Amino acid sequence: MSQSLPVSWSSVEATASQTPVQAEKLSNYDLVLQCQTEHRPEKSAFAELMRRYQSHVDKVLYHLAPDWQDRADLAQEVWIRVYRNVKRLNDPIKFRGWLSRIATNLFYDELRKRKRNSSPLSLDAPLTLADGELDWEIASATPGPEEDLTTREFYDQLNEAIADLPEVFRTTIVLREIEGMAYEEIAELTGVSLGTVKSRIARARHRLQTQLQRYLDGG
Amino acid sequence: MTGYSHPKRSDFTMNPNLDPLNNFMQPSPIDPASPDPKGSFESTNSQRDRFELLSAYLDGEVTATERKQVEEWLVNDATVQKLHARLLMLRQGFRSLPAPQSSQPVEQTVEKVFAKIERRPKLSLVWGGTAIAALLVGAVTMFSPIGRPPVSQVAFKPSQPAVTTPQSSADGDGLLVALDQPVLAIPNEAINSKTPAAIKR
Repeated sequence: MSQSLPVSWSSVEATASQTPVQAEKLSNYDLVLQCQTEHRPEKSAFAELMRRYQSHVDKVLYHLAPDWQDRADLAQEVWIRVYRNVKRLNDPIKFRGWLSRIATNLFYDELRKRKRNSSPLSLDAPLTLADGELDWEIASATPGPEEDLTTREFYDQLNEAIADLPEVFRTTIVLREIEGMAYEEIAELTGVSLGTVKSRIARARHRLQTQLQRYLDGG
Repeated sequence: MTGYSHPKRSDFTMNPNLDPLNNFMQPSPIDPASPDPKGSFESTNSQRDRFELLSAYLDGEVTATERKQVEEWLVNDATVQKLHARLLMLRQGFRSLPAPQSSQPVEQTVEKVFAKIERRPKLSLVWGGTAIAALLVGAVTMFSPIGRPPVSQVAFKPSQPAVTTPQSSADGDGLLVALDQPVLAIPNEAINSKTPAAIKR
C-alpha cells in the first residue's frame, strides 16, 4: 500500500506533464477522447485535432461552397463549435462524420442567411426551377485527342465538374459521396423527400459520368 | 438500404426500341419486351429510372426487389456493367479527391480559433455575471423576509467561536489560529505572518 501510492502519483504527474508531446502520438480515436476528458478540450490536443482534420473541413466546405471567398472564416467557426461541443459526441469513432455534419449545418445556416439577404427574386426562382435546371440531355460528345491523362488532371476535371453542378445537385452529391450520408439524412438536412434526394444524386452522377467519361473508362 | 418503395416501380420495365438518350445506355437485350410501345417520353423516363436505380443500388438504398433487378442487369447487360464500372470509378475519384489548397495554413487557423475561443468566454462572463448577480438579488429579496430566524441562528452560531478565538487570544496562540484560517486572520499578527504562510504553499 505505502509503496503503490507514490508510484501512482508519479505516473499521474508524468502523463500530465507530457500531454503536449503525446497529442501527436495519439491515435485519432484517443485524440478525440483526450479532447473530451476536460470540461473544455486541452489546447495542445485540440490543436492536434485541428491539424489532422482541417483538410477534411476544407474539402467539405470547398465542395459545398466552391465560390465563397470566406470559407476560412467558416472553417474557424466549425472548429469553435467543435471545441464547445466535442464533449457531447458519444462515440469518438464517429468524429469525422460528426465534424462533417457540423460543417454542413454551418454551411446551410450561412446559405440561408445569404439567400435572405440577396434579391427577393432569387427566393423563388432557384427553388421552383432547381430540379429542372439539370436535365438529362447528353452533352455533345467531345472526343478529344487521346492523350496521357494524369490523375492530377482527372482530379482537376472532377473538381471543376462538381463546382459546375447547380447548387442543389452539388450539395446533395457532396453530402453523399464526400460526407457519406445516407439518403434519409440528406433528405432531413436539405428538407426534401427521399425520392428527390435519390433523383438528384442520380442526375448529378449522370452528368459527372458523362463529362468525365474518358477518365472513367478503363482507367 | 432504407426499404422505402420507389414511387414509379411500374416504369422500370425497359422499352427496348425507342430511346433517344441511349448514347451511353443501350436498351438491354434481356429486357422484357414492353407490352405496349411507348413514346419517347416514357422511354426517357424508363432510362432515367434505370439509371436512378443503379445509382441508388450503388448507395445501398434499394429494396430487395430492386436489388435483385439491378443484380440481374449487372450479370446480363454489358451496358449496365459499363455504367456501373464508371460510377464506381467516379466514386473512387470522389473519395480520393485531394483536399483543395487551403486558403490559410492550418497553424494560422489554430491561432485564430484559439484567439476567438479565448476572447468569447469573456463576453459570456459578462452576461453570465449579470445573470448571476440578478439571481443573487432575486434570492436575497426572496429569502430575506421575516420567516427565517431559526436558520440564520444556526448559520451564524458555529462561525462565531472561530471569529472570536483569534480576537480573545491576540498573542502567541493567536498566531497559530491565524495560520489555520488565513481568511479570517485580519489582525496585525496575520499580516506579520505572511512569510510562513507563503512558504507553506
